[in-house]
Amino acid sequence: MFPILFPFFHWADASWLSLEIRSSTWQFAILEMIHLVGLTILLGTLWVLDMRLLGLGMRRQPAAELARDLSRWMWIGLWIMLVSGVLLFFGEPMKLFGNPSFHVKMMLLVLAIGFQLTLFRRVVSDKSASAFLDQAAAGLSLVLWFGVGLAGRGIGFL
Amino acid sequence: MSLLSIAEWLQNTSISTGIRESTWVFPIIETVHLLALAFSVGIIMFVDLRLIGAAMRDQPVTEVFNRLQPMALKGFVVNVVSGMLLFWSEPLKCYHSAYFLIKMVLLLFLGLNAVSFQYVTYPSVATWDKAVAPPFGARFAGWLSLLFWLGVVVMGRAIAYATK
Repeated sequence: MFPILFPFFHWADASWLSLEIRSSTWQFAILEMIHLVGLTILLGTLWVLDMRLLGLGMRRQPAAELARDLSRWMWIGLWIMLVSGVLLFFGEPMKLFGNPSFHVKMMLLVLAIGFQLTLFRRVVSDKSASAFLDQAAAGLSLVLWFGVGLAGRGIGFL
Repeated sequence: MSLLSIAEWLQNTSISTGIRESTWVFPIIETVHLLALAFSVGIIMFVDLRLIGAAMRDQPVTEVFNRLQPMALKGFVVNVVSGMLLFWSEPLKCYHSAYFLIKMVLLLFLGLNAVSFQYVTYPSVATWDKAVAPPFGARFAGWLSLLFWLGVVVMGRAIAYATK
């Protein structure tokens, strides 16, 4: 999809790390399991927070306070995903170079992280934000992250 | 009738063959199963974290439990239905998979844990509702649930790696 990136994928493919990860079935499998556990933590956290913004669940607690409570878990989930994800990438760079789902996933991921750390954060911490703004932020957050999940699962099928 | 013959019979039903041999049906069901996992397990994880005193500590246990548990259960229904369809599409592979068996046993224990928590530990919640660290029984149920759900996720992924 992006020929200009070829040298990077090629370098990754020939790297020591890539050879190490590909040296047995189980390294990749175990990384995938860790990636999946990270996904559960990250998406679970976002569900709880986004449901609150949508007006479902945990209604007694202000969204800003809930977001503070949950942010640690969001970061734990995100870091588990990023570290295991980078290692998974090194497990099959050339396959991913030719996989459209991977490129879509990376674009959605950048958008999702960017949105979560800027606009989303601002809406959540602003107590005077309208209910509509809360719901729009929650909706967009869910769409972006589930897009990442969907495209991620798509990698294995394409 | 043995379990094996039931699995063989299921494998030969037209729905099983249909899901197994289609290009998109299996991936779509698997994706639904995966995203519902984040919903059900991801949400129940926070009930567990509250029980062990690791998250939402300033919220009463009843508030966390009453708000999150019904949502997690709805997600779990999606998991069960999509999971049954996945099983239906490859019962023989599941029959021969130790990972599948371990996953089912873990789910059984999770069910027992949830029932015993609901009927033995939770009735006394009024006395520890606002406690940062609930009593031992509740913390135990929380830890057990966290660990076993972790096991379910890992075993579920491992099924796909089992040789046929």
